[in-house]
Amino acid sequence: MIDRVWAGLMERFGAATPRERAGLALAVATGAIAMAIASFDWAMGAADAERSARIQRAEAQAAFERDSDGAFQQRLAEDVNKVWRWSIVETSESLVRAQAAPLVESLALQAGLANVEVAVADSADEGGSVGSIAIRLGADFDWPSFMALLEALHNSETSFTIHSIEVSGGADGAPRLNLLMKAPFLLEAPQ
Amino acid sequence: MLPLLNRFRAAPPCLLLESGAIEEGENYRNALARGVMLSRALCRFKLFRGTPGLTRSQLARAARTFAEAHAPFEATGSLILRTPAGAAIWYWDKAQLAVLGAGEARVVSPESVWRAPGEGWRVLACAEGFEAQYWEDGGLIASSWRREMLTRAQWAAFALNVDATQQAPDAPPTPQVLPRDDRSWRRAEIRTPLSWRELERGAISIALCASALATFFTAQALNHEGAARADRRALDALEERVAEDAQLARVRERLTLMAEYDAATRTPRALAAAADAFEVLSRFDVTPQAWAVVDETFRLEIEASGTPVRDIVAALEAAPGLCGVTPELANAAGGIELRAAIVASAEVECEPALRGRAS
Repeated sequence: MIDRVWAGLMERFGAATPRERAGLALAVATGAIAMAIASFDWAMGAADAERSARIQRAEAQAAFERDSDGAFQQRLAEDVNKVWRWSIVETSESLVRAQAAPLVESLALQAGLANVEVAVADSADEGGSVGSIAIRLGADFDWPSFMALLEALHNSETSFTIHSIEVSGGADGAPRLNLLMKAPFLLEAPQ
Repeated sequence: MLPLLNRFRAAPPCLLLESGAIEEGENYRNALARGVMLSRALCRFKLFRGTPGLTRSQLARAARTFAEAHAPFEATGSLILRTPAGAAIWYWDKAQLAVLGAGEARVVSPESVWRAPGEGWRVLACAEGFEAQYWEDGGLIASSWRREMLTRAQWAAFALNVDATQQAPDAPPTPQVLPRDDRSWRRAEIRTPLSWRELERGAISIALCASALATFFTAQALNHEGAARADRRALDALEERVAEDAQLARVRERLTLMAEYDAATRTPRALAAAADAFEVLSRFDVTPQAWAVVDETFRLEIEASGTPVRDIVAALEAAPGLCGVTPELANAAGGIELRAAIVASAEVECEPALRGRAS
């Protein structure tokens, strides 16, 4: 069957005019050029894929070696303990809010700020184990109390981070402080 | 530059004399391989006058047909050069070249074309004999060769046969001796069009080269893919090992916790920016009426009267935590509001676009 088809093809090729043969050769050349371009593209893509696979493997290997190291594990355990210590740990988010508001209020009052107002916003669900809660503090502004508050926040066990500070004239003309801070929290399973 | 280029330029081919000798004592075989310049004694000239209005391709076809129709030998070789009047056709006898041993030469050209073009009437001293020429608009119109210098009668006969616009001198001009190194004729050559057979050969050559390239790149791609597969297998094995090891899984959990804590406590440099700004204000003994650090922007309001606003802006711009300071009128009472972007970290430079805004 194949022999017959091949013989037929050869017969037709033999009977082709020079013009037909040139046309056929041009078609073959065009196909070969397209194949060369496609294979070049393939080779470039494969080289990129190989490079990225090699990097991934090297990174995974380095991470594996680092994670297997006892000293690193020890250091990491200590750091994780600090995270638990510096975060508000409660069994629910409402309890976190309930704990955060008085904590900030007491720090502000201890710092000497007057007319303190504290509002705790709902936390945005970030989907991980560690969340962060936004706390808005309003109070009459004076430099010594503000500096004392910053000192108190710095020395607090909970890791407060200040996101915005606004000092502007209040209704009675006295400067008023508006502070937005965030605190990390961890939810633990109820006992 | 030109001398350097000339080093790579092939020398003109050797000159084949009427006797079959090669001028300048070259090795015959090597000389023929480079092509042959034919002595004028071995060539004939004919002019084809093109009909006005012909396109370039029509003129080329017409000149080729004319050259074939007027071929003076049984086996004629020819060189057709485009000229303003039509085409200058040079003929030679292939059979005679074969007898002289130059039948295999691939590139053949008459010595006359290697001499610089002229204008009007002239006589050239050739390697053998003398050539009378008439040029018009940079194209050769007529050429006649004599073994000896043309007599007045021969010159008159030549001039009479030429349909010239310029009056020919009564006596033949003094023969000129010109070097055979002009290559400008190559640009004017009307070549034989590619035959289907030549096209087929060319296409097959291209196909073979492209196939070789395709094979090379395919082999490279397969090689890269094999290496990538091996890397991925090693990575999977490593992941499997980590998943099976409780200790390592715990390490990964802790690392995730650390990363989440880091993200939750990441903060804009609000306090650092405020400290930088107040350090500047204290230098100028200025107390702001209001100030804020919100959304990575530091904002403060100061009184305009008696305050060196320009200097304060420059000082704030120079502070490491701030950039892009812009002053604006804050209120009708003449307050000025200064706004500055907070630089993301101590290592980050202020963006040039912001830096430019201040100036």
